Amino acid sequence: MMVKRVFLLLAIALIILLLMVWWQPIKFPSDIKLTIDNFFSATLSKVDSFFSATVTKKDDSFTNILSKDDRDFARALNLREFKFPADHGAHNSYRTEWWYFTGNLKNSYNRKFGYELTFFRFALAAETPISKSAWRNNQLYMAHLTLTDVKQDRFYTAERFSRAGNDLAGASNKKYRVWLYDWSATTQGDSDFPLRLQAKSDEFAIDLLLTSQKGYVLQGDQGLSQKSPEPGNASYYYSYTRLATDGHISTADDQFSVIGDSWMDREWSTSSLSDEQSGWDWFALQFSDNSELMFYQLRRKDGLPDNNSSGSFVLADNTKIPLKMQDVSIKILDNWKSPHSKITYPSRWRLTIPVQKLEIDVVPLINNQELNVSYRYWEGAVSVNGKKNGKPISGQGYVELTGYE
Amino acid sequence: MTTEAAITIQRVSKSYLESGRRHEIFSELDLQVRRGEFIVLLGRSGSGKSTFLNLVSSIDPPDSGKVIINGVNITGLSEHDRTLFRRHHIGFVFQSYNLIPTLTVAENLLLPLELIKRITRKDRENVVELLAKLNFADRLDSYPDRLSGGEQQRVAIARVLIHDPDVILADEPTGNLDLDTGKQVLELLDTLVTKAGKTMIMATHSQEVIGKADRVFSIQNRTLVSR
Amino acid sequence: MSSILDRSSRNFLWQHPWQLALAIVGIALGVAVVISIDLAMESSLTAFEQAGKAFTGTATHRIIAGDGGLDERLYTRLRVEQGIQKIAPVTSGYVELAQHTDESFKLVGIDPFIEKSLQAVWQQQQNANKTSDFLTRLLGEPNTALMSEQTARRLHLKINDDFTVMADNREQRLKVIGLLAPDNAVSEQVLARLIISDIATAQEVLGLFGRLSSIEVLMDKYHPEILTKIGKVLPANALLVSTDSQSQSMREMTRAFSINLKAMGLFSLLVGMFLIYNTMTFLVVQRRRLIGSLRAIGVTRRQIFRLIIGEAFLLAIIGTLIGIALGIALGQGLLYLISETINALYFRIDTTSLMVTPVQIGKGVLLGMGASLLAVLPPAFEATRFSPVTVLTRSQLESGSRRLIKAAGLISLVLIPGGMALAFFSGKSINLGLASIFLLLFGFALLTPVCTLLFMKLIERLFGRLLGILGRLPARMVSAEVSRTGISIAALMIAVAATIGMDLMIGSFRQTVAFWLQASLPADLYVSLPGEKMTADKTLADQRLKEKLAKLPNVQMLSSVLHTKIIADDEFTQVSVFELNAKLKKSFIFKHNVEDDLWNRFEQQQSVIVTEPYAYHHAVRIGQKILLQTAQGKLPFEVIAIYADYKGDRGHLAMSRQNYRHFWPDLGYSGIGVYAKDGADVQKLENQLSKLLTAEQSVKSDRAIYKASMEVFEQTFTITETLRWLSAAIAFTGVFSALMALQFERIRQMGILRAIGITTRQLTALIVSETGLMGLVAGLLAIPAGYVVAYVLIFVVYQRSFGWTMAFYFDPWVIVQGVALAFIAALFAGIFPALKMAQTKPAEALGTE
Repeated sequence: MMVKRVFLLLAIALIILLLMVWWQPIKFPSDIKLTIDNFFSATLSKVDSFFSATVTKKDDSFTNILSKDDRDFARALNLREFKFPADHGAHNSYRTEWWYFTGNLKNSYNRKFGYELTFFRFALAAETPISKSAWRNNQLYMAHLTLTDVKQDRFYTAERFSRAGNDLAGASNKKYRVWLYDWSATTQGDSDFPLRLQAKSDEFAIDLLLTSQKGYVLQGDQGLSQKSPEPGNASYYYSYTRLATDGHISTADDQFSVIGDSWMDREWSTSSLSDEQSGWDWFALQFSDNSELMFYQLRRKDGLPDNNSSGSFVLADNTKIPLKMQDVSIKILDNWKSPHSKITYPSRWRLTIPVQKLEIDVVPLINNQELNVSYRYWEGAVSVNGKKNGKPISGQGYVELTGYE
Repeated sequence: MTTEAAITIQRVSKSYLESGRRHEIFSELDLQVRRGEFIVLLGRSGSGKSTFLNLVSSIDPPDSGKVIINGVNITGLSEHDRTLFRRHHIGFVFQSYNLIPTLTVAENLLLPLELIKRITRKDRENVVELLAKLNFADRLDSYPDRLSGGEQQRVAIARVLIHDPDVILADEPTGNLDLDTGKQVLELLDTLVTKAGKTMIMATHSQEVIGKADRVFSIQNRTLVSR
Repeated sequence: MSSILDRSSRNFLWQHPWQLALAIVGIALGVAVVISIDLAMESSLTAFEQAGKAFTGTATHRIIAGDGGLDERLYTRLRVEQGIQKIAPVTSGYVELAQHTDESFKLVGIDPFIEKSLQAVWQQQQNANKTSDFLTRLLGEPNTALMSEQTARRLHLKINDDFTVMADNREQRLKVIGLLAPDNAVSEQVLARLIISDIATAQEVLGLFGRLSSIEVLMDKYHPEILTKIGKVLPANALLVSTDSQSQSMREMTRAFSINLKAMGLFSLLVGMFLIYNTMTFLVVQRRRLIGSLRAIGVTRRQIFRLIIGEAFLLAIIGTLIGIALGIALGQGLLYLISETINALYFRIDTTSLMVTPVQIGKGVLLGMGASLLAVLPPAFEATRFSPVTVLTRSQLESGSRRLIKAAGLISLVLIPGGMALAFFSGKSINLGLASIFLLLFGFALLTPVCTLLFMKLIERLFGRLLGILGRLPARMVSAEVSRTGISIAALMIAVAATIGMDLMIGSFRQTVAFWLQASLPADLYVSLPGEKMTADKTLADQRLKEKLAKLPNVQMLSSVLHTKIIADDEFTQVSVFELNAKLKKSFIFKHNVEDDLWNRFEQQQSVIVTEPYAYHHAVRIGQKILLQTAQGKLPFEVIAIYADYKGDRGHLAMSRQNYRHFWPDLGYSGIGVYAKDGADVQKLENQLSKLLTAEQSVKSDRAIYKASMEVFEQTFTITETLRWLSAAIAFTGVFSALMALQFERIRQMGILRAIGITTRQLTALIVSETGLMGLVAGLLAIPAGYVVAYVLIFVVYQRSFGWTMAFYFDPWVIVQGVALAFIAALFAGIFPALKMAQTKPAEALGTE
């Protein structure tokens, strides 16, 4: 009897102990898993004015969109006098700014490549913080690098971020130099050009020397580019439409000596698009007759083109002919659905500019030139074929498609 | 209740709890044993012979009733006093000899003496003499486990006698022994005990001993029945 | 195996619940101690190792610098000029919560824009809804911080709540803007003591402008050129170390400490093994009749063996399970003690909770099961020896064991000298040193039965006459069953010997340290100047303070020391930079004779003096040169002397300030010694002094420092003491159970004694004197054994573990205590069975077989 009772007690005690062990919040450590989150897009959405409204956010969970609190920032209200190299540098009192380099390249065997190197600047706040810490800085930089390898049908992308603090990124007002870590566009001499572009990721790299062929073009009204009717919803915008390019590119397996032509766009602003606008299709085309076309068609949320769409035609002698929305008709000939994002983008256009007697077909070199980075957009090298004044004309360029969902 | 009675057992009852059930062994048992009387208790195994001896020796006190030995009501004594009483007046012979294994033969004999008095040279001589009588002269300093069963039982009987108790209780003293050795041991008991005029109660199977007994009882229906 | 066979033996087991319970307790306690030490030690170290994960994630390397800190420009150079992509800057320091002053947190400043491949904990927050914009705010808003959900809950903070911390000598407010939800125990542990902020906030709060604490580097083996690139720009005071080698060196540092602890754990398990061995032997011997009968009816030896092993297996499972549960609970307690010691002796760790990993549980299970089964092998084999025909009597068993005892005695005569030899010829190995102690203890244990027999004979011879036959019984009973009593005595002896050994060792150590401390504190007052030695203005402030001190009336002279780190052999080495005076020079205790021009050479030549642990760990001799990293590259410094120092077990270098100033930047002072003029009122001077100091600076008298240092000493031994008592407690449980088993085995014999008229009081006295005798033998034997253990601990194990030499200080009181402990413990162990026996009715006792 006694014995059995003792053992019953022992068994109960044991069960209690086991339960305690079981219930004790013991978590077995596992390997820390990598989970891709999208705080960068969140970061940038906050500073967005010009860009994010037009770009598909990959992360829909983010609802705290823009603080429209632009009051402290400067705005593009009036015409300005552009001065170089100072205006190649950063304009920190504006919310957003970018340095856009795109180009079509080929090697000696006529193998075709396209590249994009873009530096973005976003201001978290208008005022400059005061601190003894070099890291206390409100200017954020983002850069995108892409390479289109037509033969391999491959599209490489890479992305970098940094604050401007501790000289990790920035854009100089003294000489043309914009950099983010080791990605940079830096003048090689005392003048603004030749400009050397250097950027590399684990998979691919570019190292190109850009020489200006035609000088810059002030877009819009002497560089003031109105994006929607409200005063201040505009940017300062100038372009170098033809930059002779020479250098090297490399992919994971190979390196190529290349030549070609690049295009540079510079733009800064505080706010631009209106609420009704959803995105744009932007064309930057270089023709075989040494003329260039820049045209952006702003799209409204109802699907129709926006009245503020505009562009310019730059003749061989660098004369600029402004283009309004009604000057250009764009017909979409084909569509392509991205296998990654399942978004359908237009993938072939017919541009007609009656005043220039120009009718061209624009075709992407490869369809998949979608950047699946913090902001998703399509930006790719295109080829051009058509007629001008009845004569055949060819060309190349870059198209940017934003705001597709 | 005569003064001649060495042991008087009055209305003694004893029961045990076994797996939750009360198992009565003796009920209202009465017995008187005269001084010098030799009583044999027959019975099957488990009939209560050992219990009876334990009751008499006060090793196991009864549930009710009295056990009076030499005029002392031992059931009325405390445990401690019962032990002291046992020391002086009662000798035990067990079936399995029960010598103290860590004491030599001589020491086993001296221990009961030591318990009741200071051991004198005389006592030692007595022990040596007694053991010599039993043919153990050369094995005084042997330990019990060097001896055979019969030898051990003979030492055990010597141990009982050495301090001269009034009552001797023997619990199947030959139970573990072969016939011849058993006979020798009984012989020894008979000579030493009966001749010394000691009162003895022996529980046994052995028929041999019946002839020597003054009275023979068996346990039936929770009491003693004379044969 | 048939179930009836099982039942026949199991029924027997049920009848001895106390024995079973004690066996389970034994194995459970042994496992518990081993596991708890392992868990606590591992948790402490893992916490330290994993702390990096919070802000470095997968980083493989780390750039660190000595006291000057890393210039933040280095990061820019690496990232912008050298284009190294997978690196992350970190600025960290400790802050104290203003509300809970005892709680300190590590404030880690990070750059939210580092490569995601570094996988820091804060980069892996999945809950985007809640935490989507905290990294932007972290960067954009000054004084914002992240902490773990658990910490916030503990401090009753919600998102957007402010809290106040003390850092850089002032109160500063931080705002919680995001909570990190750790997804596993490791990150939870890691985050528990961290506050994460942007690097700018960290610099501002900690006042570490322009400085980084480290740069974390992720370098895969396919990019060796990164190494070259880093080498190109790495300044003289910085080192690139792999995180593996860093955690390895951290483990290396604590290895000796860890081994010593684990040895104590194993000691407990050994005692636990004794318990289960004892129980199983008891159960087997008790059943020899049953087993004989089973064999007679045709049960094979193998079946008997399996039967016994099966029982042991059950006991082992139960015991091990309980042991693991107990171990986790115990580990929680030990964790605090262990981290305190590691903090005091090695490096700062922030541990809050125990991390239980399957590996350690597995280890515990293996140890528990293995030890139990091992301990049960001898009785299991013994069981198979029982002959089916005649059941061996106790005496036959005993005579067999007498031969064994003789053999054991002879083996011990080999083991004891062997253990001594191993101790002295085992080179630098701590493990072998500890093994020699085990060997010695084992040797003494084997000697115990023989000694017991001799001692009992002696007792009988000396006191037999006096005591009479009854009085001779206790000694007789001890020797009659020496195969059983001997083991109990041996176990008790080992426990007491270990206690004596540890006591002597700790006592000797304490004396040595006290002597050294008294000698090495020549100044009257010591000013301590803590804080990060990073910035130039601090250096300047230090110098001004020293000038002020020198000008005080009643100040005769000053000395100073700067504790800093210099790179030697690609490793940071602690260096104490001295500004000496005559009194301070005398306070150095050299381990050898020194020449008169020593101090001259110390100040004039490119030379260093090394501490004894340093010389031991780095195998440095006088005349040898140590290469130190200076701004001019690696330069040789000659070792001109070795001195005693017990501050830490890694050791350090001592260098004259003149020497130091030639090659390294001035980083101010860590401490200034103030020597009062003869007859000056030191107390008054102290008051005067303290008025000149800032809040974090302090002044202490030599006596106060002595007291504080001795407190630290005692604290570092708390864990050792605790474990020692734990082991001793287990040992006594073991002895207790063994003695109880022994007495219950003899219940019938006690019955006879009772039947022939021995009173309960006499019986109690008999049993208690028997166990008392056993305790006495154990205590007496423990004296030489403990002495030898102490000797090996002091001159072999501790010297090897920590590089310290100490004087053997013999305290007779320890011996007296040890013997008394053994005696009293055994006496107590006898009381319970004695009482139990006295209560047992003789009739029942006689009925038992």
